[in-house]
Parts: sequence; C-alpha cells; structure tokens
Amino acid sequence: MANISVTTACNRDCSYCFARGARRAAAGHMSAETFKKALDFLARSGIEDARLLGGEPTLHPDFARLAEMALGRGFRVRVFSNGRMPEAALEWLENQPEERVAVLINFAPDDPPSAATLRRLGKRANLGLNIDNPAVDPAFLLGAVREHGVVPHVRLGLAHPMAEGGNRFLDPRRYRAVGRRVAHFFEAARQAGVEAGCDCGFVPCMFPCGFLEAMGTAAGDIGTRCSPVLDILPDGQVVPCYPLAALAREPLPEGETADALRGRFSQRLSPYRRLGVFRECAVCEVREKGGCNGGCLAASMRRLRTTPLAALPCA
Amino acid sequence: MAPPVFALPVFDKWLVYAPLDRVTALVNRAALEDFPEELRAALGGQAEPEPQPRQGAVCPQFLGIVPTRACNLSCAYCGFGATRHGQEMELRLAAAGVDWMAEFAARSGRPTLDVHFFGGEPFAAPDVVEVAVHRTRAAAAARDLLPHLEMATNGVFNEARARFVGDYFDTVVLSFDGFRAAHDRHRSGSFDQVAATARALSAAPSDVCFRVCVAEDNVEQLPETVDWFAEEFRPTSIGFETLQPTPQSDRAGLRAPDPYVFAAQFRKAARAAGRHGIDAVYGASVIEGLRFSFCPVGNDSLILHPDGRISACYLLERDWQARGLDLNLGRLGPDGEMELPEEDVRRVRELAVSKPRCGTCFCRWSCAGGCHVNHSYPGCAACFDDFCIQTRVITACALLDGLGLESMADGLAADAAEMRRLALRDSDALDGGRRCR
Amino acid sequence: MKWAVETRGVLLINEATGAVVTVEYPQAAIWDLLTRGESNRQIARKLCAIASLDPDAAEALVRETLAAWREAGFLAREEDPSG
Repeated sequence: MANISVTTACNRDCSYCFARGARRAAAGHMSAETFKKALDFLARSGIEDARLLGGEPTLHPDFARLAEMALGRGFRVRVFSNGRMPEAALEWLENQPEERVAVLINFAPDDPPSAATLRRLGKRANLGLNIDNPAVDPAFLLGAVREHGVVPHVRLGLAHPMAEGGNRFLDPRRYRAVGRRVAHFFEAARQAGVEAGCDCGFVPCMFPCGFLEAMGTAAGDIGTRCSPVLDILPDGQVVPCYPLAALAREPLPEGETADALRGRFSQRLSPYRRLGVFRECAVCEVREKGGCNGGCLAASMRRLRTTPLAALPCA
Repeated sequence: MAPPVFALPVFDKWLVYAPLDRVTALVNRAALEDFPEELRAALGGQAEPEPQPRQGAVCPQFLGIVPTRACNLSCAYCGFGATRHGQEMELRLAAAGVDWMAEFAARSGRPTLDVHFFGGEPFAAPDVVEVAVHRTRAAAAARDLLPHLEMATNGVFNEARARFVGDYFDTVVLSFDGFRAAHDRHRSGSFDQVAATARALSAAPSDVCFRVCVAEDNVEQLPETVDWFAEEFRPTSIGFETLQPTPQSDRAGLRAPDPYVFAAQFRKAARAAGRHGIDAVYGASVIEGLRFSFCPVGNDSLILHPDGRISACYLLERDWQARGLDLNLGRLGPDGEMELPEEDVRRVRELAVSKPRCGTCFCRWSCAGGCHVNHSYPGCAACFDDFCIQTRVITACALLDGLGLESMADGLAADAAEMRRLALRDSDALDGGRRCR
Repeated sequence: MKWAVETRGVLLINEATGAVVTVEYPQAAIWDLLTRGESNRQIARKLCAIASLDPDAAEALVRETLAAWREAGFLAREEDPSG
C-alpha cells in the first residue's frame, strides 16, 4: 500500500488534520510527470491500488486526467475525499465502473457531504469517520449508509497527532472511552448488516474485555497496523505517513520498490518503536506476544522528553 | 426481607429504582398506586446482597501518604489551617509505608500497588514525594505489580515539577476553581500558576481531573467553566464539590451554593462536558456499583501521617474529634514496624454503620451517607440537608439518563418546584415508611 | 538524547547513535533526579531512602552509574561543580 497526495489544496480546515504539516511543507498540485513517476513506483512495487489523497484530491485541476492515467495503467483507483468535490470530478467518478473506482468519504457529522453527491456515487462510495473526541458517536454512519445506499462498509480512524504538533488529536488517555463507543458501534453495525473496520492506531487494550475475542477475524489487524504506509507528497517527496512527515522523507526513488523504502523508514524509526502510547506498553503481555506494536508511533513519541547532554550537571 | 424498592415523583410519572436488583423504570401513577405489589414482584428476581461493612483482616485499596500538612497557599475556604512550614515525614517512614503496602498488595494477589498523596500540599515536602514515588515504582517492579500513583495538588509549582507529576503519576487531581476571578478569590491569587500547570499536565500521559470547589460566587458559571476547561486544557474529567463552610470561608464571605441551583448548574455542566467527551463527576452520585461507604472511612483506607500515625481519614484529627470520632487505626515506625490493632480497625469500621439520614433514601448505596466527619457523623440531624438535596436531585437525573430520558432529566433540573418535590420526601420506599422532615 | 518514563524505569534513546536502553531501578531514580538538576550529593541522599542504601553505598552507586552513562554516551563529559 502507498498513498499519492495529488494536492495540498483543501476546501475544509479540519482541526485534527494530520496532513497539515505535509501540506505546509509541500504546497501545490502534483505535476503529471511526478504522478507518472509515482505510478511507476507503485507498479514496480506490485501495488495494484492507486490511492489518491490530498488535501482534497478532487480539487486538483487535472484530477480526472490523473485518475484516467492510473486506470489506463491497470490500477484500481481509490479516492479519499471529504465529499465536497467539484462537479467535473463528481461527473467523472460517477461514470466509472464500480469495480475499478471507489471513493472513501471522510464523513464530518457537522458538515456532511450532500445527499445528491452520495446518491450519484452510489456503490462507489464508502463512508469513514476520524475520531478526535470520545463524544463522537459513529452510530450516525449506519443511518447514512442506509439512507444513501452506499457500500455497506465503514472505516473508523483515530485522529493522530503530528509529530511536530499543531493539530487536534485524540489523546491516548481517552482511548478507552472511545473503545467503549467503537465496541457498541461494531455490534450495531453487525446487526445492521454493515461491515466495520478500524484504521491504524487502534490498540487492543482500548476495548472492553472480550470484545476482540468476540470479533474474531473481523477484528482484523487491530493493534499491529502501524508501519510506514508511504505517503507520496505533491512535490515527489515520500514520508512514512502524514503524522511522521517531519521525521523522515526521501525523494521518490528511481528503480527501487516500496519495500526498500519502507525498510529504510523502519530502520530510521526503529529506536522509537520500543515506546508505545502508554507507560505500561513496556510490560504488556499482548505486545510481547506480537498482538500489538504499541499504537500510533506519532502518539507514542509525545511521551518523549528532551534533555540536552550539555544541560546535565554531572559528568 | 424483600430488597428495597424506591419510588420518586418526576412530573406526572414515578421513577422506580431497585438498586439491589439493578432495575430502574419509569411508570405512570396508576401502575404505582394501584399495583404496588405487582410492580415489586415484577422488579424482583436477581437481587444482589445489600452492601455490608467490611469484615476480617484490614484490606486497604491504597496507601494514602500525607507528606506534610504545610501548604504554599492559604485558600479562603481551607479549614486545615496550613502554614508554609510544617512537620515533614521522614524519608525512611515514607519508604516503610510504601514497602508495607507493596507487601500487602503482592500477598493479596493484587495486580497494582496504589499510593495516593494528600496534604496540605504534598509538594510542600517535595523530597518525600520524590522518594515515595520512586520507592513505589521500584517496589512494584520488584514484585511484578503495576504502580499506580495518584495525587491531590494545588498545582502551584514550576514547569519542571509539572513535568515530573505528568510523567510519573497516573492520576492527578488538580484544584482549579474556574475562571480567574473566582479562582483567585478562593485560592490565594494562584490562577496564573495553576493554569500553567493545567496546561502542562494536559499534555502529559497522566489522567488529569480538575477539582472545582463550587460556592455561591461561581455556581452560575459551571457550564461556561466546563466549556473553557475543555477547550483550553482538555482534562480527563472535572469533579465538582460544594463548599464545606469553615470559619475561614465565613470570614472570607464565601457561602455554599443553594443546593437546587447547584443541581441545576451541575446538570448543565455535565451536558457541556459530555459534548466535549469529558466526564463531569459529582462523587456522591456515582451510581455504577453499590457501596457501603462513599468516603475513606468504612473502606479500610490507610492514611499515613508525618508523625507515623495511621488513620482512616485524611482530614485533620481535630475535625474528627470535634464530632466525637476517633479515626486513628495504628502506627507505622520508620523501621517498618506496623501496628494495626484489630479492635481499632473494627471500631472504625463500625463508625460507618450509622447513617441517620439514609434509612429510606434511594441514594443509600451510592452516596452512602457521604463524608462520615462532615455529613453522617454520630448525632447528626436525621433530616435531609443541602448535601442530601443536591445529591438526590443529581442522582435522580443520572437514573433518568440511564433510561435514555435525558430531556426529562433536563426538565427536572430546570424546575425548582419539581426538584423540591423529589428531594424533600419523608420516605422514598415504595411501601412508605416514615422519617422526620 | 531523548527519554520516556516507562512502568519499570526509564527508556533512553540516543538519537545520534540509535542506541536504546531501558534503565531500571534504582538507577532510573538517578536519571530522574539528574535530569531535574539535582547534584550528586542530593541524589545520593535520596537514593538512601529509595533503595535502602547506606550513604557510602549510595554515593558509590551514583558515581558508578554516571560513569557508565558517560561511557555509553548518555551524558556529556563535564565536571560537576556542585559535588
């Protein structure tokens, strides 16, 4: 998996946006040439999906052309959108085959995408929600799925901190409160015939006792899903993921695959992997057995303190 | 004897509550008045046993340490009479206390080693705190326990100390009375320092609870206070306590809020907190889990004082004595020798049995009589006081919330007459019963 | 140098070398007191109570620990003016 951020432009300003740092650092729209290089990179890495992000990717002035380029090379196109898209982009999307193009709508309950947009996207649209606050209840998504006839699958994500700060995020102290809500939601989704999935950063200990066991394989990779995703920015720089954009970046490599780049990023970040989001991660049996890698690395790194060597009084 | 069932009037309905059966229901007047026995039968079945006083060997949930009674503030309502300098606990004594609790926790099969700090201001004796913190963590590591450290503090210290607290403590209860004017009036002009500490702690791994003392002068601001706390500092929870009048608070012109006003404002504050994903807590109205005693007395709490005394209560000894109470349990020597005579443990446990106001009150196993020094002490009046009134209203609202009837709870808390009708009843028991008004 | 408090001690990360080490008790207490500006003497005094050591043993432990950390590159090589 790798993501291509085709533009930093966005028509929302979500307080939790963890792409802010990357958006500030690499302003503007991705050129066609850079996009081609990105597709070359995906192809030689054996990646079949072209995942288009932003900002808001449909705001790229050549969005349709870029997406066509990806389709033409045999990729499936996955568009991560806030649902507020220009008519031209929406028109292009609604005319693509459902099995080749999907739109993952990041649903903001206080500013939802229009019903017309969702209706036109139909079974190309999946709904998702980023949780930055335990008061957020995902239950409304089930009604939205039913009402708009979109794909009966929802994605839940946690709002992660940027390593350099500057965005609103879900503090790990609130994970258990969120875990209780998510557990209720999964049960409600199951009863409604909707599949639910968790994005990276969820950890087993945030859920009520017995929840993950009851979920079985539906729990997916909760706890182990933090690894360099690879986000390709509009200027052709590659970062491990948006939250860690300030810590590591390289230019899109010529000839190398995603695995090689991931390996270098993993090596660069490996000293911090011991951390975990909680103090107790160091003695966690689940982690020791490989059932959890300690949660979001960017969130874990917030526990770090800095003491310059020169400031220490004793030698 | 059948487990008790309580019934409370809420507008034209009755809120029926059977705590031991874990059942709450809203019924109409006819159901209650025409079919009380059938209603009781329908509610019954799987009753838990009534919470009882503790028996057997002493079983503390945590070790409380009072490093000193000294304090760096002179809060307007503080009855501790704290001064800037006071007896400090010897470091060896603090270590001995931690060791005793660690052994007890390991022997009892507990997973955690819980140590809590009280004062005065604990950091008026910083060396004691530091030694006890590290001793706790070392003792826990040696016995494969998880350390759990908790502190109640005024937060008047520098950033380095705030970082220490945020990094090493699991729970911090920070006294923060709200906006600048009220906080400074209550707490010695400490707003700027406390706000800085609050900011530092909110970015740290510890759970932070803001503890708000509510008086007449800040009760009307509770919802706005919550919004501001949530947006500016993002605490984990906010706890509200009404002013306990003292000669100091009287001299300062501070008065406890009207209980109905407090109940109404707490309700709004709780709703505001919920919108931010924060818990608003009024300790006497926690309905999850039944309890025999709300306060440390009756819960086998062991509080270690600077002079080595061990008591069941962290309030001043003179305050208990004024109520005719002896809450001392024993003594710990700096060499680790613990004296906890069984007869003293038994005596203190029995002090928590008498709850003159609680007989037919529906809060008897949630509030459980409140504080045994300030509220349910021997010889206290049997009639409901302000603490009882606000507790009853807030708990009734919590029960309605549990039924999904938040709007009805909002309506109750906004209607002074309805609150009075619910709060001032001779008896809540479904089958009547008398108590004094 | 970066570090974080863990349940059993302190995790030290030398970003320059990539070295990561967990410091357990009683040395973890030394790290905390050191990073908050305490002198060797103050650290040793508290260590007596933290780790049940006599004063000579506490001072020796502080000396040896600091030397080891210097060797490992976790501390700068400066003299302690406060003793």
